[in-house]
Amino acid sequence: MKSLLIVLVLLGVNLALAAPRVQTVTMTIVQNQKNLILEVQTEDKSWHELSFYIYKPGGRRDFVRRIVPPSEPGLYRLEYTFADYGSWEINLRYGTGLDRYYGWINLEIDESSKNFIRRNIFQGDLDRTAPRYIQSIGFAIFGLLLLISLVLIGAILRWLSHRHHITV
Amino acid sequence: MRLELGHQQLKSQTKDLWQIGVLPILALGSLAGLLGVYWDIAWHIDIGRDSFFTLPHNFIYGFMTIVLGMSLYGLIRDQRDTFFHLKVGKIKLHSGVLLVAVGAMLVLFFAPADDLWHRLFGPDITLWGPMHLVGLLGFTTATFGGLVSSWLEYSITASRKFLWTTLLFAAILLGWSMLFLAEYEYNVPAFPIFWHILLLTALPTFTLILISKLEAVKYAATVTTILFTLIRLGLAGWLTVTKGQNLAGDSQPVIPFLVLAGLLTDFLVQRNTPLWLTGLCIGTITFLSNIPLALWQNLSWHTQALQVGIPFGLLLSMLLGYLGNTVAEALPARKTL
Repeated sequence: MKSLLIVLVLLGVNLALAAPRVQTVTMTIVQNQKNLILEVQTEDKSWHELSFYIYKPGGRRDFVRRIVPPSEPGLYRLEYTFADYGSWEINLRYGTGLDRYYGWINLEIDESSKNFIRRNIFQGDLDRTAPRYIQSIGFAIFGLLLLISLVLIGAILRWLSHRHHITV
Repeated sequence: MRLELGHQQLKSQTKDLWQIGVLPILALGSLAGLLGVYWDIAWHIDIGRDSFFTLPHNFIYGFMTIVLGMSLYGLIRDQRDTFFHLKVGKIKLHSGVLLVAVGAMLVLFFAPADDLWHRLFGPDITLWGPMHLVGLLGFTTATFGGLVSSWLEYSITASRKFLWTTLLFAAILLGWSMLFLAEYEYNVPAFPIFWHILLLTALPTFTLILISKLEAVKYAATVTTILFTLIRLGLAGWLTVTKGQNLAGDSQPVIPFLVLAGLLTDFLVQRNTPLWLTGLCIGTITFLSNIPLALWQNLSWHTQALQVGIPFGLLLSMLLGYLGNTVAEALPARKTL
């Protein structure tokens, strides 16, 4: 009974600390012919860079990549001139490693001017049940293995240094 | 004199690591691993992650197995009695190959741990996924072990071929240390840009000071950077060939320009410049000589990233300079041989 209770508490804590699966993002889009100003406001106000991958639909092998830091917490601004008119997709992502959110917008670029606001839902990369701190635990495991390796390498080199100094 | 006698006795006793095939296969394995990881990243960018058994994955895991197998074979097969063989009971372990085995063990841990990690926590398609870093650490350690093994073989055989294998391993080691930055080179970073500036500035310093201090040849660091560039050009050729066969996409990584850093390292080391200054100068020239590439490839080195990346990169470069020198001093110096 006691073990079951502990397991339930741990499960509850884990779920409570689980990373949010989605984030709401507000985009302000100002398009004037081929010129675009895209402002992105994220829910998450911590420091990130926002990556923009710009490509023609179906042409994902030919990206244009832009990475911008926040101009103020949670606010990112991209100014871009498209190569030609037609349909374009922009893939946006922010966060680090596994703890990352991403979404898309489709734009029809023509000779007109548009100005509109869109709210998007960004998906998280982390599995539904995984806690947000799991990446930190992973890095701690890596750090530990790095430390062990360095100690082992250091010990072998020290022994080697001692040996060749007494041999020569 | 004593070394010379020992050398003659050894020749009659048993074969060196080259003759039993360990060094050439280790060099081939670490070189192929390097190529496989770059190919794998290009595959993920342009094709996606369609299954675990993709061609690049099979390629990497195949060569990982070869490196692991060769290190174990080397440890068992090579039973000479030299100053660098560690005696454990009746067994004599080549200390350089032991370093390769440490790396191989990390790689052995990495393969199942990585698969389990993805199953439990998500796809984690980034080079710096924690378990991926363990794999990279393993391969880097194994390559470092290859460099040490090669140099130790030179210290008792005085054969020039080991000078060249040492330089080759140094170039591959430089390749593995730059591989940590591959996502930035492909311009698909999953971590902040300041890490690119910081690590690009600092990481080459370790290998360049180490190889220059060993004095394998007169301009060892310069030769190492030239070999590194040739390896990376070969890799670019491979990616072009695989693209032609529809086995990779258009993505090509930027090749870091390190030749000036190599030249400067040799110049400063040969003049016994203080280590802190050598590390600082190498970091500075590495950063400066890569600015044109960053601009040409639009690598988004924005002001905030530069403000953090440059000072910490230079500081780390100085520390790695000391580390490279410490390792060089732990190995037999060429002038004493």
